[in-house]
Amino acid sequence: METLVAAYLAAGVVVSTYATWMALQNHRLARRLAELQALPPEQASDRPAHIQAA
Amino acid sequence: MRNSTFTGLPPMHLAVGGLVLGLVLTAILLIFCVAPTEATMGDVQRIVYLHISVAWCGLLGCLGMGACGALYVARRNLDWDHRSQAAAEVGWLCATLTLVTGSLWAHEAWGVWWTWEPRLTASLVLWLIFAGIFLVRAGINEPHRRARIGAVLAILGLGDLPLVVMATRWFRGVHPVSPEMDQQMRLILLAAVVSFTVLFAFLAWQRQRQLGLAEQVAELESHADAV
Repeated sequence: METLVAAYLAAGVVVSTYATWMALQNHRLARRLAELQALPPEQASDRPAHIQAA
Repeated sequence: MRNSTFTGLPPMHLAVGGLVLGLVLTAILLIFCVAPTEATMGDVQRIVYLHISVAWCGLLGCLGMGACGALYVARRNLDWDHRSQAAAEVGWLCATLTLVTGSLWAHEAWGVWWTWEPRLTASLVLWLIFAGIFLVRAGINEPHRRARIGAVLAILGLGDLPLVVMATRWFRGVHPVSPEMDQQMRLILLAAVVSFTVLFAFLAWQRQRQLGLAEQVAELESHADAV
């Protein structure tokens, strides 16, 4: 029974660690993107068109 | 679309994630509470539902990595590289879980944690292919060069897939060709495979989206530094 529980626990730990890491990365990237998109116009005009439109 | 404050994910994505989690928890409930106990191995046989599910997802991840790599080579669009990398990461996670759950089951069934039999060896090679591709990609800064080399390695890595799948038929070994299961067990196995596939597809989708976001941020930062 311990082996069975260990197997499912291992899977749960691995998947939740990966999902948590992704959530933290998303948080960091979303915050950084918001900072960069709030840059003054003289810096914004040098952005590629597809990012200005984003 | 308005994003959730902490994760930066749109609410719809979080809702889908919640549904996926519910699906997986339902499958686990079926495995532990509905699936009959196997006569020979007892309760420890329930590892097989997880083992087969993650093994299947690992193979899908390898296939996705190679297919998206090939599409990058054909179209030179970094979105395909992001999909390839996301599939590789999730595939590697699943390959890791395959080896771990397989090892735990092997200790109960065969009395050993590991044996150099064909399917196990091919599965370890698959894990090493994933790990090797990550190491090579980590050493390359330029996105298109990294994508090109990653794609070539991913396509070459596909060569291990038929070995993993057919090892039990082509070579003699101790790994079972297919598990001995009654009808109810097979239905629950199908439910487990489907739910874990949906889970890992969701993770790969979110990771691919995140890689695109990271590329956007990198481009904006390089333009901000240039000014």
